[in-house]
Amino acid sequence: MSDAYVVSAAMIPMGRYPNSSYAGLATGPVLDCLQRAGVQRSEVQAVFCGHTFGGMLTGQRIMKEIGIGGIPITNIDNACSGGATAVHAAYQAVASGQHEIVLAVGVEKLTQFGGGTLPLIAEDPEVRAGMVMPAVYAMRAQRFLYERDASVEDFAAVSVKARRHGALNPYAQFRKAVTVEEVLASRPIADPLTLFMCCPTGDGAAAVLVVSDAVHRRLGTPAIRIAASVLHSGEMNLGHRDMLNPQISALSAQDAYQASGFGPDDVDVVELHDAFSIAELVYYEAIGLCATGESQKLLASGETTFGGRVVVNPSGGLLAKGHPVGASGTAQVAEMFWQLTDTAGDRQVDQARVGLTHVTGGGIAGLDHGACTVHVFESA
Amino acid sequence: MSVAPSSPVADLGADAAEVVDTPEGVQLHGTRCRGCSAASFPGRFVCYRCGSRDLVPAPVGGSGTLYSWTTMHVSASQPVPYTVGYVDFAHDVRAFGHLATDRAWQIGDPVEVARTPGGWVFAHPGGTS
Repeated sequence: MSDAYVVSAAMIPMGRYPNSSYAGLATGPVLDCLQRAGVQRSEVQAVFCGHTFGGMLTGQRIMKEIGIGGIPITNIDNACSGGATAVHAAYQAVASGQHEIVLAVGVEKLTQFGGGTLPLIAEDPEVRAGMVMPAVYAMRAQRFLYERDASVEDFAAVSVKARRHGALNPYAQFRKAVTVEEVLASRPIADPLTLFMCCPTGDGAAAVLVVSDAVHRRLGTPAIRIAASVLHSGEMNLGHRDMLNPQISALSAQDAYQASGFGPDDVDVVELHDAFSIAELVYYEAIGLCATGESQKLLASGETTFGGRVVVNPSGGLLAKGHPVGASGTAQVAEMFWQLTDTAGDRQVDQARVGLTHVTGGGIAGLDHGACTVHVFESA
Repeated sequence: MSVAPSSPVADLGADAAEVVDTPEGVQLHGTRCRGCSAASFPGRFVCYRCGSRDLVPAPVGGSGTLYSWTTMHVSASQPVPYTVGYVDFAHDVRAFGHLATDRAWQIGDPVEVARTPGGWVFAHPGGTS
């Protein structure tokens, strides 16, 4: 496999856009992404479009509006990991030598559902019995309180950090800081999780351009190298699974570290899947930022906010930036492009050179999650 | 000579009751694999552990331990509030279902499968559901 680079990124602020279609959400980011790279529409050789609820031919519905066609356009589901899976597919296409200039797009319009929990697939027996995504994470949270020296204040502290970061990010859906008291006093969603411990529903679209080494050199623009691009699926286990040790995330991160040659200690900035506040604590451990049992201490130490050893979710993460599911994985890569090219503005992580993105997808019976994508990037 | 067609499994049409009465009391009605003897709830048509398609209906547990639980205050699929959880049974069976709400729950609580007018529920031993 040869090197592949992200040379451009664009996205809309996440939020509610009831007057925009999927194409309406995504055409701006796609055009801005190409323009910033100095790449013509006709130079794009393939498109991968991540989405979950866009329906038939979402990618084509976007691209036809801006006159991109003829080339292969592939639509990718993979639930919340769809946008990152699109980046993974773009990486594969470039690193294998098949293409040199590939667009990855993530887009989602959750306002079409009018709010509430994500509709899941009723063919799943647990879904028929009442499973929804907040229940998955709430049961992890209950287990965390049971097994660890932890309290609901630890979950609230994750939300407080996320909102504080999001307040610095013009792309974030929530841009106001909150207190622990406000988080705990917000309405209950799935005990012990309150509203402010859950990501919002909203709309979003992001695009990144993945190119070969030769194209990267020709363009001469700021870029980041894709040091690892890993995709895993969940492994079926209907037995006594440990909900605080999600294997899919741990194994994906291990593979990403091995492929990149970087370890957890080398990473300066992380965007991880904090769909619910408990998730950030569980994933600190799964991706190796701390030992098992140390996650609430790592959060409290301040090492995962600005000025710390590894800044986690400088964008505000899914909790504050927002989580239009199929868009989120691409949005994480866009954030990492800005962080590692020193263009993240008020939320810039000092001296960020190596970054990791992590996003899982889906709740189905017997799996930790359906999909997990982990990327490692390095300033080029 | 021709190649035999594969068959779909009627996993949605299966009308198997989710609980069954046994001499030991009400139990979850799942399947047991004749290849590797793994038990599953709900019942399955293929054993994901050994790949066998030779599974038989079987009671797979009536008394277990609460692994985790939550009360939902928002849901896309059911009227709220409702309380659900994972209960661990012997032979590495974990089942998801509704919990009775007559008393509070704590992780580690003993749980019994109990019939209700509408179906079944995870209940406190001896408790009303």
